[in-house]
Amino acid sequence: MLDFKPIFETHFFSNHHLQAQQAEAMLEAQLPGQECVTFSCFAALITAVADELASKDTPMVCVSSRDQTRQTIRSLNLFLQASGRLPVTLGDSAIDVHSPAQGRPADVLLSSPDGVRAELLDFSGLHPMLGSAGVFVSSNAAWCEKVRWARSSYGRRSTSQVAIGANGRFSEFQAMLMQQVLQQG
Amino acid sequence: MSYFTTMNLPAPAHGKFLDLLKHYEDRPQAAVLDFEAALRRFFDVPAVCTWSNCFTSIALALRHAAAGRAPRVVVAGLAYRRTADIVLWAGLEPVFVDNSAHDLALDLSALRRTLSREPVGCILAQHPMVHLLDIEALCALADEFQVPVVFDSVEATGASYRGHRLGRFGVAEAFSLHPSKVINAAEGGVLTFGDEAQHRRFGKSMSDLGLWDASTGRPSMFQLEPLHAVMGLASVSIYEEVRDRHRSHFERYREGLADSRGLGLVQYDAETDPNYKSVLVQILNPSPAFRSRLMSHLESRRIGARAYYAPLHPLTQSAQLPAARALAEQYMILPIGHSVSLTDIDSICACIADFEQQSESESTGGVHA
Repeated sequence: MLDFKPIFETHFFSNHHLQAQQAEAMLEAQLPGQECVTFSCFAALITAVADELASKDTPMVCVSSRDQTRQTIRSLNLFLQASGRLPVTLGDSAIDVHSPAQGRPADVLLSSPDGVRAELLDFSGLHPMLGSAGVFVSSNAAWCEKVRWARSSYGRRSTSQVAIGANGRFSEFQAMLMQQVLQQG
Repeated sequence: MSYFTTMNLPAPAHGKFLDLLKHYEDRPQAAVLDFEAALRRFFDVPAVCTWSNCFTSIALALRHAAAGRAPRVVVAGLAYRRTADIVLWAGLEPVFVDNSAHDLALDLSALRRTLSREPVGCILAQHPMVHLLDIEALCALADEFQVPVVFDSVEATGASYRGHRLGRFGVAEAFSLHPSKVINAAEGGVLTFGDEAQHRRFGKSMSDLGLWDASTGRPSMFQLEPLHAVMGLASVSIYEEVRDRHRSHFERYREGLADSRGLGLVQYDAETDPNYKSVLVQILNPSPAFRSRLMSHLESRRIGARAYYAPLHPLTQSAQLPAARALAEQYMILPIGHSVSLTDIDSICACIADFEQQSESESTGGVHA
């Protein structure tokens, strides 16, 4: 069992500190050429992408084979539509998706007409103590920076602008759990 | 060299957290349920609802309060910097109302004028730092216009109004569990409800939005993390200790700033049983840019003072908010909590005194015949 002692030793519990940075570095090491942005929960990530990146021409499509993820999307779509956002299209999970996430197929795809692409990964429930977490994966640095800016004021790497600043802060506790998931493969 | 921050950063001992973790490692959801029970006792309310963070908590409470009404939320012009974002994230529109110089909260006369002029969905009433807003007066005004009120009580966690702990007022009250506040769950937010009927109505709203599990009577997404519930359980048990530490810090500042002519320490009302989490000072020195020069002086010595909620959100640009704009220049907050000791506070006060002396010398020396 993890004891989370490093968190208490640094006295940093959130705000994109060492553990969150390490989790993202581990993801990026597993996904060469991609930038990875962690988010506090998958629903918050979907909502942020709906606000900042998705459009009729650049829709989000759920291609997940996980029942839990597809159910989350079905339910979340009610909220997205009620709050004036575009819903996520439920796509065919049988589609052979080329994903950069080895052993971790994309759950939601975001594709623009000019070929820019991102994958959204749902880490919810992949560890018994991890309720939810999401990761935005893309080789497009501008898209990734927008998602970082939507997440919080911490962990930004450069400048960007967002339509709606949200809150997707990924805690140091979630980060240590994610690291364990990634180490176990 | 240490950096002194305004973030409270209270935390239980690692051992205390670990004992709880061992207790819940095989039943993580039980941690959330037990933490919610602890929060019901802490806030003395029959119902609470935890979420992944307070931003989401408030947004969903606004969505519920404004359901079936105009999609517009009254907020104070000078407020927590993310307030307008919270309203927008909820799919609603902020309506900015001026602040009161008396308590820094929503100005009730300005609020009356707004409510008389245009339909709104609800009011987001925020307790400012240190002061409590006049809940009875605000609720009476809201009732007169039949407008629901959601309270953002983040800064007043643990305080009481007329003998009742905050948590039972309005449609719901919101509290943060971020480390920068007084109950540290690493991340999280909680909505509290004064009666079961309010909670049931809220659950129905969330169900209509696809965010509620009818079988459990709890959120189905944007949930509080089990590990954060474990941390929260450990933290809520040390609240009195945290408050007492903050009070000792506040009292030390009171002594250290007693002779300051440039800064006036905003006093807590002890009868409200406050958490003493913030050291809020009013700028009394009329010199231009006194606050910004003082903050730069402190920052150069790794003392992280902050302007109080300034600048105003860009969306306020066209709003008539003369008091909010003036107040935005007049206040700042000083370091407190985990990052400082009483000796550090003495040093901070000495640093402020040095700056004031320098400023006065420069000002005297700058007078030309």
